[in-house]
Amino acid sequence: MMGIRLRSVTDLVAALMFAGFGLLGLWLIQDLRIGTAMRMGPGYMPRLLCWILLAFATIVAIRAFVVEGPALERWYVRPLGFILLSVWLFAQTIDRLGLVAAVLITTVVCAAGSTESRKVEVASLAMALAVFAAVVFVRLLGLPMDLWPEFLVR
Amino acid sequence: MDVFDNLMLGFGVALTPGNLMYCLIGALIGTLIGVLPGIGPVATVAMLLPITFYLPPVSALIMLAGIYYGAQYGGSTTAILVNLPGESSSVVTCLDGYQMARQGRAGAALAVAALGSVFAGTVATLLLAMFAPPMAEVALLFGPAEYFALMVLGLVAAVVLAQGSLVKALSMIFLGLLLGSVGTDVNTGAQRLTFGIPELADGIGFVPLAMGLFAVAEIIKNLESPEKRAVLTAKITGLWPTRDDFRRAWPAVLRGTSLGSLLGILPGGGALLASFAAYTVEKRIAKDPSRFGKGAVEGVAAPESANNAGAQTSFIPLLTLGIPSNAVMALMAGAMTIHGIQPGPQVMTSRPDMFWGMISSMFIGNVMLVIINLPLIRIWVTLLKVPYRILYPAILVFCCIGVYSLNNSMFEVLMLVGFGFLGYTFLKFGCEPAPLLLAFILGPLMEENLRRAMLLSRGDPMVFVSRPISATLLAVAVLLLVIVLLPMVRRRREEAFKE
Repeated sequence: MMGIRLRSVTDLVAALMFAGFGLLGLWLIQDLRIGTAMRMGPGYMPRLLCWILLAFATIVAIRAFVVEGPALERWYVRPLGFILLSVWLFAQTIDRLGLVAAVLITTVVCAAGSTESRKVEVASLAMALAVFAAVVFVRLLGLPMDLWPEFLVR
Repeated sequence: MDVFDNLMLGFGVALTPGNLMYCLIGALIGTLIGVLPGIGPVATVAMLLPITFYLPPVSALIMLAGIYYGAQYGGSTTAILVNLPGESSSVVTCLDGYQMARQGRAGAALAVAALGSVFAGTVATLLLAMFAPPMAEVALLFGPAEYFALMVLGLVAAVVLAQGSLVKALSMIFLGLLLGSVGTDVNTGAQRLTFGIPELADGIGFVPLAMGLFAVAEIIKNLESPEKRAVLTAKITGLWPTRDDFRRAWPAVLRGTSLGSLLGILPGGGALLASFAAYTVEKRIAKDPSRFGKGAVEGVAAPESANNAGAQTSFIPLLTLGIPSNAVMALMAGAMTIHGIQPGPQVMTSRPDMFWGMISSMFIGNVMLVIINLPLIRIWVTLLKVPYRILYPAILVFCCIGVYSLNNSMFEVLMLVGFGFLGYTFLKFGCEPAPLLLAFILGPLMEENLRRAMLLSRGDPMVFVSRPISATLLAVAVLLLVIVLLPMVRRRREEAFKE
């Protein structure tokens, strides 16, 4: 047998992630009553789940040293960053600036996540989506959303 | 005769102009997202869920159902013409469908896929109509112990079907159950795992979770590599399969239909599993397995029939037991709840118009889909030429609007950011998100039934093995787990997923 050697980085980080969730859960519910098996308190199930999750995390971690696995996949920061940023911006702008502005901003920012986007195309797409969203969702379906920024309407 | 009367009642509902229109809209949207790679029924139904609030419940369900089975039709088009699965359940159709297209037989492949689908869809809907009422009666005998055991079986089935490491799939199940327990405890009103955030008191929203894990993470993943999409358009000449194609295809369609119907009922099953299993079976029983992967018509006929049959019969657990067997069914359950209808065995008796109307609409929808998919195929091919760089901002914007419009809450959109990140992390760490989502849905139901069962049995866990139905269900679950853990089967399973 060969010595102990890390064989699957992917499995090890996955195990750490599961363990992290388990520990976070245990910490958050430390004050909740457990109760008995017959009358379970609010803390019974979550605590049980956390411990099982930790147990599985341990098995995954051990496996990482036993079974050969793939190396960690590369993270692509550009699509990840711009896509998440665009959704975050939608959340920040929808209430204050209204649907039209939010759609324009989100489209442009998320388009920056792709290396293949073209400027003119993105601009026309953003406008088309804003018109479509305003007409279909607000005018036709009547979803209760502001179309324009608060300060303009008032 | 009873079924016939009921279906008449159903057609009375489904054939009203309004419902016919929603059925058509559902079928069209379903085909659209089926054709377009990168967006699936989970994200679409989640996006449209808030809109259904403004429709009558029957129309809403007819439309959402149409999206799910319509996607199974559309998925084959992309698989055959582009060698990309338009829908995950069409992955195996690529193998032989694309080869047929390269040999100039794209038309025949598309026709076989569509005709097989409509046959399978109709048969499976008939099965749904025939077996749902007796199943619902059985369901009335179910106590909390049985419900709990059934859900355990569903989760085990989901683990078995997940790709990659079993232990990781099991971990994802428990993480999903944990996420499902966030929110106010039903019995005591205590806040659990909420970080003190008031918006989390009702629990984590299912829609931001599903969209984050499936739509947002998927978009990021797709943007990693430049797009390669070569559509074989010039080669759709004749749509009619040859006599030899028919001779080979029809037994495969029959086998695919039966297998798909069966696997669709299974909790954790549905269209995806059905198509994989059907392809494997065809290859196994073929006289000359080497033809597969080189344009064998059975390799298109069987999985495409199976995924349609599976899509239809996966409604059975939801409509009879109130247990969603996959993510789309969970969203359907959500749509019912929005309208104040508790999914379960009582729906059939309390809302027969809705129940039978939806089932009847499936017959109509399947016929519509053949027309949408065969004569109009060129329209969908044109759509396939829309590049992903234009498609994905649209998908993302609709996701944002969909999530926001649920409660007009920016908090839910922020959750979308978080779950998008989490979903990408899962992809990078080799953890499949489907079992987590199913566990998240079943979690609260499981806890409720577990607590009730334990209360009724005065804390004696033997209640789960002393009641015959529950004992059987749990035994099947254990058996499934043991079988998969056997080294021999394990290797096989890994091979099967690699193909």
